[in-house]
Amino acid sequence: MRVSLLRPVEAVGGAVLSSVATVGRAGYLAVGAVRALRKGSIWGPHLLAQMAKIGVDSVPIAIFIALFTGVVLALQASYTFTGAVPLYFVGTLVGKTMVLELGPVLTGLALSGRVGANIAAEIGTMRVTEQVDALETLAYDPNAYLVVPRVLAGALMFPIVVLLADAVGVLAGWLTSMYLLDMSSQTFLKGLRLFFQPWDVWFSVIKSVSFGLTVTSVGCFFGFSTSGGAEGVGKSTTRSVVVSSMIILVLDAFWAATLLK
Amino acid sequence: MSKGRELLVGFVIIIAVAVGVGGTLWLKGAHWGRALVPLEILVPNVAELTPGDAVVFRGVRIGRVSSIEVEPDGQAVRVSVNLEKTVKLPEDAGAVLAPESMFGDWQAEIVSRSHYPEYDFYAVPRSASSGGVRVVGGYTLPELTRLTASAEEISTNLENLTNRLEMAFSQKTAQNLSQAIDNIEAISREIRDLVNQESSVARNVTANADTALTQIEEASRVARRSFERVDSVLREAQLDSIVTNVRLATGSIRQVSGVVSGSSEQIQSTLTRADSVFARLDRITAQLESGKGSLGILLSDSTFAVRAEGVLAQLDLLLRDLRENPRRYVRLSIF
Amino acid sequence: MSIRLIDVHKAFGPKQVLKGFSLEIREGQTLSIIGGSGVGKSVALKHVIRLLEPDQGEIWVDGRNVATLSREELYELRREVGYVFQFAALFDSMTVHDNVGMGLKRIPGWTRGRISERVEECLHLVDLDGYGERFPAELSGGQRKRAGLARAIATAPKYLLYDEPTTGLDPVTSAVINELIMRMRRELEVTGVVITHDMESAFRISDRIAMLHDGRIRFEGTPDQLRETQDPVVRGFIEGRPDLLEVAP
Ligand SMILES: Nc1ncnc2c1ncn2[C@@H]1O[C@H](COP(=O)(O)OP(=O)(O)OP(=O)(O)O)[C@@H](O)[C@H]1O
Ligand SMILES: [Mg+2]
Repeated sequence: MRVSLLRPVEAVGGAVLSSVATVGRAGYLAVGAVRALRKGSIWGPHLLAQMAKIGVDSVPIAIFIALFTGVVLALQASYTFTGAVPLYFVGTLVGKTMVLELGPVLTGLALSGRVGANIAAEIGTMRVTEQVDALETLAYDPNAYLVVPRVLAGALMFPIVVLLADAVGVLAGWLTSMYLLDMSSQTFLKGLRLFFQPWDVWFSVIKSVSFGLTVTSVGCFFGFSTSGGAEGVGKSTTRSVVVSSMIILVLDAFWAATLLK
Repeated sequence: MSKGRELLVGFVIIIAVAVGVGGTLWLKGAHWGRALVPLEILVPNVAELTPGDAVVFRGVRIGRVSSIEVEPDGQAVRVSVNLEKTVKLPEDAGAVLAPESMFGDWQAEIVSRSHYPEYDFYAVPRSASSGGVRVVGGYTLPELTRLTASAEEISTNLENLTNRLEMAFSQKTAQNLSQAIDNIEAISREIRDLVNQESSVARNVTANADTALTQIEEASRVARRSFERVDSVLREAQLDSIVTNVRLATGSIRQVSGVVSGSSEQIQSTLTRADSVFARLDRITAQLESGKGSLGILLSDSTFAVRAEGVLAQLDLLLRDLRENPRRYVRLSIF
Repeated sequence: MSIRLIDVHKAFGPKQVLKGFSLEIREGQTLSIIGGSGVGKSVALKHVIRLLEPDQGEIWVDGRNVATLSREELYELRREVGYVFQFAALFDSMTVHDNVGMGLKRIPGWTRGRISERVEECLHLVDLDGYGERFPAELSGGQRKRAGLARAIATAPKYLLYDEPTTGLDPVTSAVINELIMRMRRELEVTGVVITHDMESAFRISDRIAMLHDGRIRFEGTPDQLRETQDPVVRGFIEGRPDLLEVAP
C-alpha cells in the first residue's frame, strides 16, 4: 500500500533526476568541447572535411527544399492576395518569408535529419565499438577530434547553405510569379524591395549559425550517450533528430522575440 | 581530403557569400563606381525619416539619406543626403519630408519652394553651409497618424457639443450649421472626384470610397432637411468658430482621414457616428421649434475651438498634398 | 614503473562487477589475467588508463594516482600505454595504415615518411604486410585483431595492455603473436598485462598469472605455482571442469 502510494512520487523524482543528469552531461560535453578548441592540432586537419560533409553535401537538399518552398509561397500568396491586395505583395511575402523564416528553419530541420542523424549514428557507432575509447588510448581528446570539427563546421556552413537556400527560394518565387502568375518581373521586384532590410539577411545568418550549432552539438551529444549496440545507435539517431528539431523551433521563436522588435 | 573537395568547399562558400552580399546590395539599390553629390537639408523635425530613405526629384528617385543629426545648437536637424545622379536642382530648392507610402517609409522630395508657398520651409542661416556642400531648407509634412488622432478627438468633442446643443441653440448656429452641411457636400464631391481620378490605380478602394461617399451624401441630405426646418425658425449670425469646427469635424476631418487611412470599417464607423449626430440635430430642431434651450454653454467652449483650428490648418495642407500626390495615400487604402 | 590496482570496486547499475579487486604488475614483467567469460577482466583492464573510473579504490601507474591526474597528465600517461582492444576497435573511416599511424601523429618530430616506415614495420610484425591500404571492414576478425595490436605497439609504449590478443587466431598466428608479446618484453622491457583464455599461451608468455573470480583476484602467482595450486576453483577453470567450480566455496 505504502509502496504503491509512493510510486508516482518516485517516478517524478526519477524523471527530474534523469533530466538533471542529462543537462549535466550536456554541460560537461559543452565545457569539454570549448576546452578542446585549444587543441587545434587535433581538430584542424578535419575541419575542412567536415565542412565539405556537413555543408557542401547539404547544398542539394537545401536547394531542393527552397526551390519548392519559393514556388509554393508565390502561388499561395497570389491566391490569397488576388482581388484584395496588389500583386506586388507576392514579392514582399516571398522575400520576407523565405529569408526570415522558411529558408533558415526548413533548411535547419532538413539538416537535423541529414547532418544531425549522421553525426549521432557515426559517433554512436564509434562509441559502441570502443573506437571512442581507442581514441582516448591514443591520447586524442574525443572532444577535439570528433566534436569540435563537426560543431565548428556546422556553425560555419549552415549560414552558407541557408544563404543559398534563401536566394534560390526567392528566385523560384520570382520565376513562378513571372511564368505561372503572369506578373511582370518589375512588379515582383518592387514588392521584394519594398520592405527589404539588410538586417533580414543578418537575421537569417544569425539564426542559421544557431541552428548549425544546435544540430551538430545535439548529434554529438546523443552519439556520445549511445550505449547498447546497433539498437542503441538507432535510438540515439532518432532522439538527436527529434531533440534538435524541437530546439530549432524554440530557438526560432526565441530569435523572433529578441531580434525582431 | 582531396584537393577537389577543398576546392568545392571554397567555391560554395564564395558563391554563398557573394549571393548574400550582392543580393543585399542589389535589393537595397546600392551604387558603386558612380560619383555621389552630397546635399544637406536643414529641417526642424524629421518625423519618420531614417537613413537609407529615398531622395526624390520630380517623382524620380535620385539619391538616398545618408545620415541624420541634430545640430549642435539644437535648433534644427541636419539631414545629409547623397545624390546619385547629377541633376540641376532649382535655385530655390527646398525639401519636403513626407511619407513615401503609408507603410512607414518616408522620403525627402526636392522641390521648388515657389511651388509651395504655403509650406513653411526652414530658413537656412548663412552660417549653416560648410565645405561647399549645398544646404537647403526643409519642411516636414504633418504626420497623418497624429492628425487622425486629433480628428478623432475633435469629433468626440463634437458629439459632446451636440449633446449640449440639446440645451443650447440659437438661430445663427443653425444657419451656420446649414452652411457646414454645404461644405460636407462639397468635400465629398471633391473626394469623389479624387477617387475617380485614381480609380485606375486602385479599384478596390474606389468601391469602398464610393459607398462611403454615397452615404456621406445621404447623411448630409438628411441633415439639410433638418436645417431647412431650423432655418425657418432661427435667423441670427454668431458662433463662427464653433461652426468652423462643426463643419470640418463632422464633415471633412473624419471623412478625409477616413478615406486617407483607408479602412472601409473606419469609414463605416465614422458614418454611423455622423448619422447619429445628424439624428440628434434633428431632435434638436424639433425642440427648437417648440422654443426651448439657450446657447451660452456652447459659446464658452473656446479651448476646443482653438485646438481644432490648428488641426484644420494642417488638414488643409494635407488635403492639398493629397490632391497633388494622391498615389501616396491611395496606395495605402488597400488595407 | 609498476601498475597497482588497490581494492577496486565497480558496478554497472545493480550489477557489481568488481568487488575489491587488488593486483600488482611489477615493472618489466608480463602478467596474464584469466577468468570466466563476463567476470570483469576487460572492465578491470580499462580502469588502468581510466577508460572507466572505479566506484571505490585506487589505481597507481608508474607512481601516479590515475584518479587525480588532470586531463593533460592523463593523456601524457596514455601516450606511454598501448591498449589492444578485445574487438580491435579500429577506426573504420580510415585505412589500416592510418589506424596504425594514429598514435604516432600525436608525437612531435614524427614526419609522414618516418610514420610510414614505422607503420610498415609494425604491420610486418603482426604478419599483415600489404594490408595497409585496406579498410577495417575488408579484413577478417583475426586480421583486425592483429591490426589493433600493431596500432598499440606502434608508439613503442612502456606498458602494453592486451585484451585477448590471440582469441580467434589459428595456432600458427597465435604463436606469432605470443612470440611478439615476449619480444616486446625482452627487447623493450615492456610491462605487460594480457587477458587470455588460452592457457597454453598464458603459461608460455607470463611471468605471473592471476585469476579473476567473483569480482576479486582468486589466485596470483607464477605459472609453476598455478600448475600446483590445490584451489578447486582455479583447478576447475584451468582443467575445464565446471563440476569443481560449482562445489567451491
Ligand atoms: N559499459 C557497461 N555497461 C554495463 N555493463 C557492463 C559494461 N561493461 C561491462 N559490463 C558488464 O560487466 C561484466 C564484465 O564484463 P567484461 O567485459 O569485463 O567481461 P570479461 O571478463 O572481459 O569477459 P570476456 O572474457 O567474455 O571478454 C559483464 O557482465 C558485462 O555485462
Ligand atoms: Mg573481455
